[in-house]
Amino acid sequence: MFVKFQKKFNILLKNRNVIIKIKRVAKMNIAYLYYTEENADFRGGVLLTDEKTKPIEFRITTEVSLDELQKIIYGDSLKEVLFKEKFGIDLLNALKEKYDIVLTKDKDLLTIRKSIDAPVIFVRKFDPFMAKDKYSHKIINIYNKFDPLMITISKEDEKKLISISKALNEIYKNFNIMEPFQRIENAIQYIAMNEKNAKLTTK
Amino acid sequence: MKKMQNLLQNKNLVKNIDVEIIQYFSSDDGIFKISENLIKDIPDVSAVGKIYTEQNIQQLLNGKSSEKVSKKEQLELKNLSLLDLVKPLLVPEIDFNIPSDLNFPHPLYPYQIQGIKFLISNNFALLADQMGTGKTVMSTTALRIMFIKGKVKKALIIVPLNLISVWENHLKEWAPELQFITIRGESHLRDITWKLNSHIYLISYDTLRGDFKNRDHLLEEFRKNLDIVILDEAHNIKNPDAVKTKAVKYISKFTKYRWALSGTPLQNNLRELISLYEFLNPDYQVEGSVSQEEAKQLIQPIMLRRLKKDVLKDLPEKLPPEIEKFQLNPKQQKEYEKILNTEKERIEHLIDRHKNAKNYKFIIRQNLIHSIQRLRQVCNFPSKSYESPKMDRLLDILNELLSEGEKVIIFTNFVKEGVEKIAHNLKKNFGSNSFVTYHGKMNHNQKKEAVKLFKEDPKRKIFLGTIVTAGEGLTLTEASYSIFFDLHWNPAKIWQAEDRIHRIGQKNKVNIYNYVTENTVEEHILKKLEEKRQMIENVIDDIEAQEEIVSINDLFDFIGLEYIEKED
Repeated sequence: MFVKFQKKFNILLKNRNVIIKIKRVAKMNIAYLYYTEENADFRGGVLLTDEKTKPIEFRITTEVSLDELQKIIYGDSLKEVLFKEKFGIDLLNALKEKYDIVLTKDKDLLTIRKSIDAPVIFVRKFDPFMAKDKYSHKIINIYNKFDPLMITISKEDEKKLISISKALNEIYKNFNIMEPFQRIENAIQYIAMNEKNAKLTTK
Repeated sequence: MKKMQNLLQNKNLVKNIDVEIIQYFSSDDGIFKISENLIKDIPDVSAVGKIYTEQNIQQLLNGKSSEKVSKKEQLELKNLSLLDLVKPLLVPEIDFNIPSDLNFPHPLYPYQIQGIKFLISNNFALLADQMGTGKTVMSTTALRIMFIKGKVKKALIIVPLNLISVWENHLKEWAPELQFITIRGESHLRDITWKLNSHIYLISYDTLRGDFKNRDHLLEEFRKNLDIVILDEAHNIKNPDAVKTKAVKYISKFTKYRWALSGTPLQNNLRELISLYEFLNPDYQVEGSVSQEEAKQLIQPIMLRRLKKDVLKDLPEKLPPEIEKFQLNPKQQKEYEKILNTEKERIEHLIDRHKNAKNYKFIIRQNLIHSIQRLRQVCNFPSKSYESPKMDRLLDILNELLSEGEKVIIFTNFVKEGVEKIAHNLKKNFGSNSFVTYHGKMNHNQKKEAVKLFKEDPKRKIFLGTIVTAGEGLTLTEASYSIFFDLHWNPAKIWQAEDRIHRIGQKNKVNIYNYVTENTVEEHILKKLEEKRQMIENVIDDIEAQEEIVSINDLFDFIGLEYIEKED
């Protein structure tokens, strides 16, 4: 009996390239929050996707160029004002569609949770030497298609960690939840390049 | 000094970091939708998804209104803004292991996935699969992936004129995030289309050749940021000295990716093969002569070729027919217009004469069918000629298929303006022993002999018949390609004929090609076919009902007249 099962299992493993059946994943809108910095030019973007990472809504800010004096005067509060208030909260508030969670690659943005109605999740590559804490959880792809990830939530959502982690694990079975950040970056780069070209042409 | 102090006081050195919000997409229906623009400081923003007619483009470009524009000239051009152009970058990458319904309108077959992977992993590639295996689907999907990956931002697809509509349909269906523009029409319109923003530009070899000769300044600007060129029926550039070939090589000078699609790259002579290779790999310099073997060695690493018989098991029971669209040549155009005007006048006269007759509807219906028949015949050939765009394409396809040992069925509805003229061309190009004819003017024994010859004689590769006659209990499983040279006026008959082809060729999984002439009664018929497809499916076996599928109203519509009800 066991041998039969083992054989079947091996065949299944061999045919892993065969189309993977997707279990129905609960509907979830994810807001990916991201910003870019090039020299002293900053720009923020938010991409709202469904649970299959298909885009629903995309908004970016115009480019913000700061001069040296501004940087000096704002000092440490620059990040607070620009990345959190403007790029973070303003962008999320501008979304027309509802979002269930916010994903960010910047740990500092966890604090915007106080100003919005949905959990904010800091996501990065899993590192085995990473210190463990009660706000973090590991996310894996069972087919080894994508690298393991670590998510961290703000303390306001401590009780939701397991359910959020389960939902993201389910999505991560088939869809790379880190990849949409790259899409925002590509889109911002493309727009910035075109703007520059347009400026050059009008000059 | 006081003035300076005032200035310093008034100017706040801590500038407010003012960030405005731009909305790009919303999802009312689950797919992208370009929203209203909320900010004005990004270039081209006012052009988001705006549909321009020739008239307002002229106004924009010249600041003045153009002359009165005819309906035909009101070509719709969509100028994409930056916001539209960024769309593919926001779409998730395509994963072939994930159920295909998420990404594709129909499932891809394993050999097609292999073909797509081959294209996207080669900067220059020759996809040389046999006709009917879906090269257009493979290259459209591969191109879509390249856009999503951000590797390609501007693409040019060069195709024979009659395949423009095939590509347009494939792009709409298989690459919904990508916007395309077809460069064609009058020269002043093309001046504009070359400059419009788009992901993909679709153009025929002939239009490109013309613009290369007369508008090279536009092409020079256009090619600067062109990322990829795809050539369909790439044997079109077989002659290195032809202007067409030079035009293709000129426009693709700076492109990183070059893909060629051709079902017959190796049947041609060495010079032709080298011409194609030089397009694909512009760094390659031909030094001295190259042997057949050397040429093959050059092309093999960048070529993927599968025959239909190799992938047969993957193909579905029924392959949907492919529609190729043609334009009337000048001779045909002149004759078509003349007949159309005469027939319209005749019908109007008949309406006046018979409007009170009991059998008014019957008389008008029969006469309308007669008029439509005359027009359809011109779509095949001008009355005093054996040449036409349909015939040119047919010979092209036959050259390809016959060289691969395939047998082909050609159906037409006409004997004189169909079977006889096609036979004349077949005889001239392939010899009188290459085909058999089959039509209602032949007696039973002649027909029987024709079928026997087609089945048993390996030289007789073409079966040329009229659909009505050939439909009677005929079994032609030898052929796996069928070409409908013209469409019947009754969509039910077309549908039924397609069905019959699938039945008779079940073993081979037949590819069907329908030839349709643009801006003619044939295009009206095709439109009606699509509209009534559902209805036809329901009554396909009901012969009585078939005649009624096309109403008298539809027949009037085919020739551009309005139906006038009988006076009581």
